[in-house]
Order: sequence, then C-alpha cells, then structure tokens
Amino acid sequence: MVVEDMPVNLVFQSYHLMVAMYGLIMVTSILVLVFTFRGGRIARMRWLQWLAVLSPLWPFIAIQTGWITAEVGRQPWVVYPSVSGPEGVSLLTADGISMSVSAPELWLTIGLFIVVYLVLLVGWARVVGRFIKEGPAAEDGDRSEGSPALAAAAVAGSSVSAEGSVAVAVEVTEAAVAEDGTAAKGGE
Amino acid sequence: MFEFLSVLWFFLIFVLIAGYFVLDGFDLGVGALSPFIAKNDEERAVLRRAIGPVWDGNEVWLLTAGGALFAAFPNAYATTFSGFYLAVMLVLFGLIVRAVSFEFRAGDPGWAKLWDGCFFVGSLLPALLLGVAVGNIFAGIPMDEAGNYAGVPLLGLITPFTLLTGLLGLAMFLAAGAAWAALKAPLPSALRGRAVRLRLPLQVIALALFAVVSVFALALVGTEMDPALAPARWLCAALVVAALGASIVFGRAQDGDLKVFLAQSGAMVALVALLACSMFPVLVNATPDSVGPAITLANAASSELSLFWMTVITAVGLPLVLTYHVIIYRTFRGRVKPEDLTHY
Repeated sequence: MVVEDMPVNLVFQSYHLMVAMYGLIMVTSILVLVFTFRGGRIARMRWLQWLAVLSPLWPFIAIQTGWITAEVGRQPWVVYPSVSGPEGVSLLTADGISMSVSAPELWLTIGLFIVVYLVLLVGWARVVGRFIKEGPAAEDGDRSEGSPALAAAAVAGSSVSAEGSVAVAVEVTEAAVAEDGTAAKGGE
Repeated sequence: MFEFLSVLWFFLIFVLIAGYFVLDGFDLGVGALSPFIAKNDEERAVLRRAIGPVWDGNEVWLLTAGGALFAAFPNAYATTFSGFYLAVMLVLFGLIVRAVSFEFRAGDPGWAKLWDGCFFVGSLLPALLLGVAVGNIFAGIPMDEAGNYAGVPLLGLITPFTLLTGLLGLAMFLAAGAAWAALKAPLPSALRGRAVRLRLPLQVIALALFAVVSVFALALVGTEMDPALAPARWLCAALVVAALGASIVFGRAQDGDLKVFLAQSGAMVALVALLACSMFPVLVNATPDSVGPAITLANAASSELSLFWMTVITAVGLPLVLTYHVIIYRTFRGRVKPEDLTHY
C-alpha cells in the first residue's frame, strides 16, 4: 500500500470525534457536579439524570475512536519512520507479519474473541442489572427501583471494579440522596 | 558487560518463570481441582476466597516473564509466541474466563454453573498447556531459516515427550493447589479433608512423572546440555526429589499444612532451575532436522542498552513487587472463615 492511498478522512474524523467526546465528558461532569452540590437540584432534573446515565458512552466512544485514529493512522507502518534517529529505521506492516501464523488460525482466534467477549458482555449486563434491581443496600424502599440516578451509580460503580462496585454504587447513591433536602429519611 | 547482562537475563527470565510457577501454581491448581474437592456452593465460595485476593498479583508474574522475554530476547519471544499461537491463545482465553468467573460468580447466581465451569476449565487449560510449551522448547521445534516455527499448528506441539511434560506440570499445579486448599480451608471441614486426601497421591504422581520425564529427556530426546552445568543439574534434580519427599513426609503430621505447601513450592522452584540449567545457553531448541538454527543467547539478545535499563528497572521494581506480595499474603493470612465469604 502506498502512503497516498491511506484513508486520511477516516483518521481525521475519528480523531475529532474523540476530542468531541472529551468535550462531552467535561460538560457532563461539570453539569452533574454543579447540580448535585448546589442543593441537590439534580434530583428534580430528569434530563440531566438521563444524560448521566448515557455518559459512560462518551469515554467508550472516545477510546474506540482514539484507537482507530492510532491504528489506521500509523499504516502502512508498524513503527513510523524515525524522525530524529538514524535514516531509514522503520517497519512496514507488510514486513512485520508473522510467518508462522496462518490466516485460518487468525480467523479462528478472532472468532473466539468475539464469542468470548459476547458471553462476557451478557454476563456483565446480568451482574450490573442485578445491582441496579437490588438498589442501595439500606434503603426503606422509598426510592423507585431502576431510577436513572441509581442506574448511573450502579453502572459507574461496576466499571470501576466488580468487587468494589456494590460499595461504590451504595455510596454514590447515598451521597446523591443525602444532598436532596426533600428526601429527609433518617438512617444509613 | 553485554555478555554478563545476556547471561544474567537468561537466568532472570527463569526466575520470573519460577515465581509464576509457584504463585499462580496454587491458584490454577485450586481451580483445576475445584470440581473434585468442592461439592456445594459454600465450599466453592471458600475456594474462590482462598485464592481471590491473591490471584491477580500472582498472574502478573506470567506477564512479567513474557514481557521480559520480549524485551531481553525478542527473537525467542517471536518464535515461541507466534509459533505456539493457538496454544498461547487457548491459555489466554483460559485465563480470561477464569478471571471473570471470580468476579461474576457472586453477582450472578443464575449463571452459577457456567462460571463454576469457567473457573475449572480456565484453570485447567493453562495448567496443562504451559507444561506442553516448556516441553517443546526443551525438546526442540522445527524451525526455518528465519527462526519461525515450521511445524503443524497446535497439533504439532503434542508429542509423547511434550505430553509427559504437560502432565508433569499439571501434576505439580494440582499438588500445589491441593496443598493450598488444605492450608486455607476451614479446620475441620469436609473440604479440607478432600484436599488432604488428594494431596498425597498428586505429589506421588508428580514425583513419578518427574522421574519418567527425566529419563525420557536424558535418554531419548538427546538435547545437548552444557557440560559445565552438569553438577548444577544433578543438584536441582536432587532438590526436586528431596522437596517433594519432604512435602509428602510433612503431610503426615496433623498441622503440617504450611510446611507441605512450602516444600511443594520449593520443588517447583527447583524444577524450573533444573530446566534453566538444562537449556543454557539455548532459549528455544531446534529439532535435528530443522533448516534453521536454535534460538540462543547469541542470536536472540537485544542490545546492551536495553538489557542495562531492564536490569535497573527490575532492581527497583522487583523488591516493590515482593513487598506488596508479602503485604497481601499477610493481610489475608489464616484459614477462610464464614464471615470472609461476602464477595465470593
């Protein structure tokens, strides 16, 4: 492949999509922080709650588009020609292919990856769904189950680590509840 | 300096492999034994809790060994990881599903059977295949001029000798797992009883397989071994036998669980040391009918600069790693108690 044939537009668009996601992350974070800590008004702003629920998509898209930028952008090299070092030091992708791995093996492992990751996705969704359904540990049942704030907390918590997620989800939700002056239920 | 660093890193890679063998040995062993010693949900939870806090830090040693191989001996890394592609992928998938089965099992009782199965298979695959890989690099693989593996994918890696080394590795993993389960299970409990009952036969089988593999390796495989290291080899072989023997003897006492585990781990370290002394200075052997040469220190080492900085970083990093291991194992010392089972 010749350098001139490389898909510049794809690299350009994905890079700018990544930066746009960065902007969305900033905007979402600032909005959520401001309205949580100013009298807990977020509890009455359903549109912002829904934005928070959708917000894990922003870093996900940012990561994927960032990788597309990097991996498509560096073609046709594995290692871009050295700018500061010795002349001619580079590695074309075509020269970097392993000779001992055949195409059927690669197809097989790509297929296995897809299968394994699909199973993991369903498994993860089931676990997260359970956390969301159970809700915070010490609630009186006043909060409606599956409300967007709870969902956001559970999803945010589970993306940190499955082990700490129940604790994190409980803490985040309780913090949101505590800030809301109208839900003055006593207790944990 | 370059010669010294190459030799140093040859042995350091084996130190990392030995560390992995001991540390991940018992948690892969526990997983591979789980259907045989844990008969109900609570016992399975105890097993997961016995290795849950430590398995992650243990598995990291495999990554370090692989990474160090990549940095210090890139040709050897390329030949083995590409040549054994499907086997490496199977090990990888095994490790992935095992890891996930820990995290998801408690949170998803509906799929409990799947995750228990993943815990078992995900532990069994690496425990078996890693020994097969080691057998291959010792006995030799067909190589072309460029150092690429030229044999049949995956199936070409299974020969009588490599099957035996795979079984030896598996037996060591299982014995270590039984020793750890006996050490961590509540006392008294049916779980511990089963682990103790399996521990002795597994160690005896490991000892027998070690003898068979050694005879096979010396008599039939015909790999050239550095004559200067012959005393070291005999010493390591003696240590393997002595440590396994000691482990069996300690197992007869009522409170010998920790000593059994430590002696078993010592045997595993001695086994890797024996491998290192048998292979030096070759990293990947080639079969006699190979077109290309074996991968040795001379043709695989990376530059002096790389090796130097690797040494510096390891000198800083390895003590830190060992420190956190000590902290973790001390924090989670003692047998598993019912109140420990919250997350698992």
